[in-house]
Amino acid sequence: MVCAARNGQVVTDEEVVQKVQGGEKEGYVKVVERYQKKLFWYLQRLINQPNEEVEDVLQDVFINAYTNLKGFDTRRKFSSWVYRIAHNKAVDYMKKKKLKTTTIEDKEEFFETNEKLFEELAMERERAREVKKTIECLEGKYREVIVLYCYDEKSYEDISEILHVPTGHVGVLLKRAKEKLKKLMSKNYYY
Amino acid sequence: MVKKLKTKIINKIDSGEVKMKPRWHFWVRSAGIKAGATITIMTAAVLIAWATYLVELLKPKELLEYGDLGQQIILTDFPYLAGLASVFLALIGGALYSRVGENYKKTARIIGLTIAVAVIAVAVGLIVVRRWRELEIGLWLI
Repeated sequence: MVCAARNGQVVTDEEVVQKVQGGEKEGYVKVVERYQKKLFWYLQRLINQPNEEVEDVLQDVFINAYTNLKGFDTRRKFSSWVYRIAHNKAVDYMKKKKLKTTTIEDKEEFFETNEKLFEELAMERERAREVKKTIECLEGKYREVIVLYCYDEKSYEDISEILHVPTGHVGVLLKRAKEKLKKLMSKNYYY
Repeated sequence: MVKKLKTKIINKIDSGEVKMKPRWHFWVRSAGIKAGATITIMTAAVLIAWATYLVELLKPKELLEYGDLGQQIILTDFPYLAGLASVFLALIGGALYSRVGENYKKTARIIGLTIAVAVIAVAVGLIVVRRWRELEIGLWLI
């Protein structure tokens, strides 16, 4: 749940959405501003295509979210709902383009730069690159759950709502994903 | 990227190219799924009740006294189609039920159990009502 201060007051996503549902179309700009970066990287990690393609999918996500906004129950979490739409659009895109694997670009933000020797940092970056390349080799459902849990820091409950699977099953998927990742890492198995 | 995407989306909304679906659309969809689940489950139960009625008409206990021939008749006239159709409809009912509300959080086992209990409960209810009516009519004729 993302909150922003406005005149000293904290406004939740659900409150903003409620106003948009009531007819304040301008409020939707706030929704786009809050989620476009997160959803962009989420989609990028799933479909791994050039930025323009990802932006097109992202645009579809926001348009679809707006179109179906009145169907959203404001008692629930908006972020899970919009991530679910992004998940569906990513799946549709991958089916359309018959994509099976993804590549994940190296991101500086994932590395700690304080208190590390140069050699340790270089080894850590190389390791992170290996892990990211290996994640590409995972099946869709395992890749998704790893991306949502490790990169987007979603809880089991959130992942359950996004992927529409029982909460207990999320733990099982994550465990299997980590096991597969470990197995692939030990084989040094890259495409 | 930030401004460009925002502008594109807002322009589409302002121009009317993108419109919000009305609330009744979602209400009708939700009601349709719930009605679909209920109807398929009820139909599955009716088919089971009807199948038990057909089996009763066969009088299997009497037929078994005729040995192999009686068994052949039972196997030939047994209402397999009603049973299969009932299972098929129960599966569809289960698939629709899993789409209602937050039922996606339930495991397949729980959904299967819920549907099975619902179908059996309604079928048993229908059988009881039929037998009670038969008894009533029988007493009235006497």
